Amino acid sequence: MSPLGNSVDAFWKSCLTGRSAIGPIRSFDTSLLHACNAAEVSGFDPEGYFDAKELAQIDRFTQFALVAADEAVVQSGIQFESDLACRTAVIVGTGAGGMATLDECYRRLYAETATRLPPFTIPKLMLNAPASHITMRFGITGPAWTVASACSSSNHAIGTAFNMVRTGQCELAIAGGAEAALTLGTLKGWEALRVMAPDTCRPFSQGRRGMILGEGAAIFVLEPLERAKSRGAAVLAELAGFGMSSDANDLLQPSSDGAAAAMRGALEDAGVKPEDVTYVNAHGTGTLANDPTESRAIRRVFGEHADRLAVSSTKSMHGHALGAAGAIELVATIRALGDQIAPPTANFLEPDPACDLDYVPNQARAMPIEAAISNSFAFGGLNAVLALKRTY
Amino acid sequence: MPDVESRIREIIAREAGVPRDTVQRHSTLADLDISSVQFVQIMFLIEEEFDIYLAEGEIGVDLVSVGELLDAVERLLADKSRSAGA
Repeated sequence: MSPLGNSVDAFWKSCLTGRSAIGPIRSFDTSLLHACNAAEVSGFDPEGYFDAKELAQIDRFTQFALVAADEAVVQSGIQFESDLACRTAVIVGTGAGGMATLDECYRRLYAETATRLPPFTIPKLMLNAPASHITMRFGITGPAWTVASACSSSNHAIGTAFNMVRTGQCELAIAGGAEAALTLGTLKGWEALRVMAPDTCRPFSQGRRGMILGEGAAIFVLEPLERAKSRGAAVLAELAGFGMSSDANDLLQPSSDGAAAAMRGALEDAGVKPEDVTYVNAHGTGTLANDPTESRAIRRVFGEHADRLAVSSTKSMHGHALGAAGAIELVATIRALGDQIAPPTANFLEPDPACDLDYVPNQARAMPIEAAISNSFAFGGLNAVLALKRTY
Repeated sequence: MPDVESRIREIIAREAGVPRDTVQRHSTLADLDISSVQFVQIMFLIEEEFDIYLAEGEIGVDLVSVGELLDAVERLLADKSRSAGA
């Protein structure tokens, strides 16, 4: 589920055209905002997916998670029978939780002085709602929880699930991320951090003015490679390594040391040499601070090979989905490996001397990709990087 | 009411936890050891104090000096009084 399309194929098709889904916010009145653009999921009719009773119980971010989980589980071809259901984990990342529910409740309470709130207020807004609803939808009785590390939530969730599957703590995992935080309250909060672009998201480009928020969800089924191959499943890619680090430095300013440590950790864990990587799905928020810092970190990890990397930020098209960002970007990374095409960095104007890598400006590029990494770096200095290999 | 410069210097000094005398026009925020979080807080307090909006990208945390910040605020205040008079 993403502003670029509500299925993996629709998302990827849009990604390759370099079309940006960023535009004026349509879902609420933006007259109190200075920066009024975002990337919203469109063409999604919740009533087409959920009955009235279900809808009363789930916030938009959980709706996104469930639609994405349905697509993933169908694509995997797995039936969660009882003995498998208790050996499957569900780990979903989210940054903010049910912000639309929270906003609506606070409006009722403070503006309209309501004396009571709907009983589903808390179950709708709690951060673990997507994980809980996924377990109920598929009858999964194994471990399930939520990971919240702001913009790194998805990568932390997927990486943790990956560790559980490969260590045998569970047989399968359903993992990913979901976010739907495009509310006036959230946007005002982001505005105060002074990182929001009034126009669009131009990662690594001259003239970039900040980030643009997005929303959505992406969910994956993680399975040991041999198990998947032996049952004849369509294996999309091999999740090969996971690297994490903390900057221990500053809440808002990123550190290239922390970013480099997480990238290096992911490559070492995957047993992938830096020169085997040809595509990097960058965190690439489009803020003045992130992009040069991330570029320096990439150069530090990859050395001279950095000049041969294709580095792109698909946030230029689907916006920054916060807790869902890593999961949505992992879809782009997996499809890049599968189709041997690097998606572009859209809205790119001119190179910025402080960002000196090849950012695949504006046009997708067919190229050999055997290994790739996907970066997520959160406010608070929490970094999580996934390394992937192509499968045959 | 104190002038714009002293009000801004007061806000910065208070937020940075330094004596007012150390906040000079040529001081950069880095000289004053102001973190990113203190920076956004200072921008917020200045906006509240003068009822203005400091646009994104106009003021960068890494390079701004007190003088540049002051110039930006005075420019915005001049624009505001011009449009109020118009």
